[in-house]
Amino acid sequence: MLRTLLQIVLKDLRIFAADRRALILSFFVPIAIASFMGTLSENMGIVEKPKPIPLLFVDNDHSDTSAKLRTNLQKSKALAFHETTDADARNSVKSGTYGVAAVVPKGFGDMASRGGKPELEIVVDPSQSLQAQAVRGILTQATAGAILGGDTGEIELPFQLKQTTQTSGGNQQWSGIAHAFAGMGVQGLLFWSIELAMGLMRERNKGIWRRLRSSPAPMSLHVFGRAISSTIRAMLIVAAVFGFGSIFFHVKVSGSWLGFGLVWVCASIMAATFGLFVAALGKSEQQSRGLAVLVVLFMTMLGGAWFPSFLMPPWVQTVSNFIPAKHAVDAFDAMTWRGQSFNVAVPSCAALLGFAAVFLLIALRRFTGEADST
Amino acid sequence: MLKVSGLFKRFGKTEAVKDVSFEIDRGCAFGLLGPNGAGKTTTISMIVGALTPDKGTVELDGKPIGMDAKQRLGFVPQDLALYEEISARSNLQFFAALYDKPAAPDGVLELVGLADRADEPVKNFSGGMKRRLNIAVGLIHSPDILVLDEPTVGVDPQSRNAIFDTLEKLRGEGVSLLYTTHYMNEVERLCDRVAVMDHGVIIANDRIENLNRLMPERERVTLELDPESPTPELEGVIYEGRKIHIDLPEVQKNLPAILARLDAAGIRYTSINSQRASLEEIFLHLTGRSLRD
Repeated sequence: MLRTLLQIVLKDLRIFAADRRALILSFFVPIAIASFMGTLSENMGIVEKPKPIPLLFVDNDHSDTSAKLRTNLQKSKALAFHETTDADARNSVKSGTYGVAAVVPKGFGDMASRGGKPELEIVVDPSQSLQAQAVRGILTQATAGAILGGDTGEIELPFQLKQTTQTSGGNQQWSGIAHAFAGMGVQGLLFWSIELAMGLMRERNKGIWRRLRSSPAPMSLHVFGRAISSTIRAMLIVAAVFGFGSIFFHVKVSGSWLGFGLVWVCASIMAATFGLFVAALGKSEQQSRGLAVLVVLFMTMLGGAWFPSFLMPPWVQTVSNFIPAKHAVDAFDAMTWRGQSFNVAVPSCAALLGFAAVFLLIALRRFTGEADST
Repeated sequence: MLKVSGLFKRFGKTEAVKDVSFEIDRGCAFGLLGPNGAGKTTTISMIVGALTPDKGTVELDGKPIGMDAKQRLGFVPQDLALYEEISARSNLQFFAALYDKPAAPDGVLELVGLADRADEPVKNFSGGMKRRLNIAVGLIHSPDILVLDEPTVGVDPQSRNAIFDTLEKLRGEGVSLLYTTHYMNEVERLCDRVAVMDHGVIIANDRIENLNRLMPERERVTLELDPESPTPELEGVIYEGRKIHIDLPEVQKNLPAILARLDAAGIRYTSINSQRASLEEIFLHLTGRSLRD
């Protein structure tokens, strides 16, 4: 039995190695996408020296108060200050050249000096709402200073804010690169598992499964053998993706290496059995491929492979608990840039193995049953 | 040796196989003849254990087709059920591992004439070579009975001859053959016994010479006339250029009188042939349709 199992695994690995084009694509595609996504998202998180936010300033009031406000805004290191006319400011925001403009209306200073509540207009490009929120905070402080700050036009806050990040690896920064390699690695694995499924369906259409059924080796042995060989292939792909990330993008395992190894194995088992599951349920290759691609895209999108799940709405985060990709990505994140311990990897790995067990059972039932026979 | 009893198989509303029974003796070559859709492949699939019958049994020397019987049964499917990316030898090594006592891959490759291409990927092989390798896989465990499902489909004459040489050699070594096809000449060349199948039912099962008796007792006599001879005017004769065909019962008894009449009329001929009914004609006679329908 073991000899047969070993030969099934060896045969699959020989086929994997023999198809050079598929072999290269299996490794190259996730690496290329991870590199691209990583480069894009590298500065998505908290950075030490953020770029100043461009702000257009319009003074329709020409009062002492508006002059002090101008001075306060010009002093702010968080802003790139530009003064212009009312019409130009509105056009610039409308066209998207600037995200935010602050317009001081006529009579602003006068109303403020009489104890009224004058309005300061903020003109915002709706696609730049994050910039607008940041500018609103700075404007609040600068305007309060201009009105309440006396001759200097400044007020001193009675406290200071100090920001640190908290992971097990110390003051570890969010790593877009590490997350991209985790996310795109998992996505690459799942897309590869679709190819695995298509290969199995081609074998079935070629009559190989009928021939195997006529042999004394039970079909369950073939399914197990295929699960093992596919897991090995998936592990090679993950190793290549993170190896590349480590060498060229300095992706580090800041947490437990043992935990990373466990996630590596469990994610590979999940992807391998997912391929068997797709092949078991699929009818025609074309139909199954289209459906499987759609499912994988949803799985990776909702599972946080494209962008971190903490950026998603709460309901998506709840739904994503039922998506295997989420557990794989979170666990890789935890072991890389979050610097978590082995214990943190265990629940995610248990979830991955649970999904794998369901996929494998369904595949076994279909492949060993009559439904597959023709 | 192989006993098939009362096999039934239904796919949805279609009854693919209905009460199929036959037996194959040791060392016998048994042909299963029928047009596409007759139920041959479904029957074969149940015999080799790839498909479970709804009803009926298949026994090899009294034992049902389980893991033990499968050790003695070889199967050559109609499709080229091979891994094309790897070599012929790797294919055989893999399939050999599924059996308890496999033969050496090199010996089987020698038998099918592929020893010199053993390490080449199968995808580089011609159609005929792939067919031969397909047969080699069925032989890798030296089976007592080899089940072949239309093994020569799409094969050039040279490869077909090579395949037949192999099968005849196997038969000479005592291997039983169950051979499905819709090529008449293959069955006539290889098989001792033939079952004719149509619409999931076996409509005739006998030795080929006995099947001939199902036809009306006639033989077709064909005479090729001498170019300078006048054409005879006879009743019941079919004219085809310089050939005439006469369907005669009891040829040995009736032919001399016909020839004497032709001689008296000054009719000269250059050749004379007689032919019994072919399997194609037998099939047409039994089912009312051609094998290629």
